[in-house]
Amino acid sequence: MADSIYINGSSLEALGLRLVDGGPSLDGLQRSRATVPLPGRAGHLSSPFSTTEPRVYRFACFTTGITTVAQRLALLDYYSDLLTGPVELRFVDGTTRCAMGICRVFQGAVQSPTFVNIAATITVEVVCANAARYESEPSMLVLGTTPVPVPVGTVAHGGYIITTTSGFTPFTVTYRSVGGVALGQIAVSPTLASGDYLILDLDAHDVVKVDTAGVRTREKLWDTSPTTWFSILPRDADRRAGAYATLESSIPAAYYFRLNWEN
Amino acid sequence: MTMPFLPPVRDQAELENASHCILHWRARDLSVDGVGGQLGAFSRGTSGTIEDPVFAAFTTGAQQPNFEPRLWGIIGYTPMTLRVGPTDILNWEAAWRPKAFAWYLEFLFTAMPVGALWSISNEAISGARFFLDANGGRYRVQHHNGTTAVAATLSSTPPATDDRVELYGYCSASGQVSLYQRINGGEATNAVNTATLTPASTWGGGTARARLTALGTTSGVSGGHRFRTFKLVAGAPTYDQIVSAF
Repeated sequence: MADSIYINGSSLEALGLRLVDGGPSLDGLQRSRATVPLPGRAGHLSSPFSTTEPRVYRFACFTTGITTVAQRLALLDYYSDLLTGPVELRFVDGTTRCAMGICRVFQGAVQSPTFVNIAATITVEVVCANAARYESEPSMLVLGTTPVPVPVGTVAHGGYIITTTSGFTPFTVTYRSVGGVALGQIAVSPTLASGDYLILDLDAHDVVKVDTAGVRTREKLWDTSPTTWFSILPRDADRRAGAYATLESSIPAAYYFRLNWEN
Repeated sequence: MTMPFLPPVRDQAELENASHCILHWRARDLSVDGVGGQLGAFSRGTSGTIEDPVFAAFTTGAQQPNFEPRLWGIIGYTPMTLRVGPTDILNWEAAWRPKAFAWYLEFLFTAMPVGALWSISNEAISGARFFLDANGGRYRVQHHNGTTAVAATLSSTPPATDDRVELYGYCSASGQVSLYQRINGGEATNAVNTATLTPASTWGGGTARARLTALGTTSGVSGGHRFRTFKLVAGAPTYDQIVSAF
């Protein structure tokens, strides 16, 4: 039987389950945007930001190959173990992408008459606070003064930029759209000893130094004007043409990131 | 004593990652810590080098793990790996007692190691220990209970440069050791299982740790190996169970 969904790396089928219902499979993100009525105008004023609810994956399975109540109980126990803590879901139509969530519903039912039937139907609902699916394998690009195209999925991504150039070396990292428009720039004036490295966290908007002993220090004051933190946005690229927004750094840097997808 | 009418506590940390493995480390987490929260210690003390997918090079910091994406033609995409230099050591506390376990190591091959690829050992390399190294150009796994040792050595063809290598094996409750090798997802070949060897009650005293690329404090990789996954799993799971163990 073909695999369908993987829970923390184990396929449902390997667990002795057969998927009979599930979703969503191809939905994009749901977006909600508040609007405010504006008197005398033909319409409402849109909120500048939209919000997206957590993604909820719900699926139901039949147990297979179970002939005793003890076997059924053992399967339920193992399934319960798998659903403890954060649950990583993968789907067979795109196994390189993951969703991470918390199990909200774990139902088991036996068809009536229950004293005759053994096989159960198990329904699971996993709530993913991060509504996007993300690439299980991160990537890395080396940045320099020549703009480097940065791949992007259908949802924006951040990541972090590392540099190791020692000394008092102010530097900038510039983000440009596929058309070359500068949309963001991080300017940093660090003081790094030989062997230290510096992390620019695009998600937390943070600057962290790691010294040769591995000690981490937040160095927020090294972030100097004019810094405009940025994320890599799909709308700044032409994904169909394989033409992406770019990053350039005035000193050598490594950029680690993970692509995000709507589905 | 009566049973209290108190319900069991809920998991206080259910938003934090958990792993049912004894130790589970993945390069794709971009962390030296285990999935289950074991704090990893990385040491090198000098700069390293990494390359991106188009082979642009970057010099890493003294204590910066060399996480490097690498195209593995055999699996058709570019997973994240930890590229280790000759003095790199990544290790975790080994606070579990010797017991039946399976281990699994996945990496991109460059050359046979001159020391251990991984071990459970203390710094003095004394007392009970377990390690994987090479002998005569073939991988070998050894179990030492502090007094005597048993070793299993593969006789099959060693990997070639850039092969995807999966090495795995078992240490049974009676101390018997086995070793398997899979290259590029092919059929597994295995060494002759060892005799039994009564396990010690603890791993080598003092500072026993699970060490990737080292036995004791001696790093053992000639450089360039790219590690992707390292697992220690309790019991005697099958290969499929080891790979999917979480």
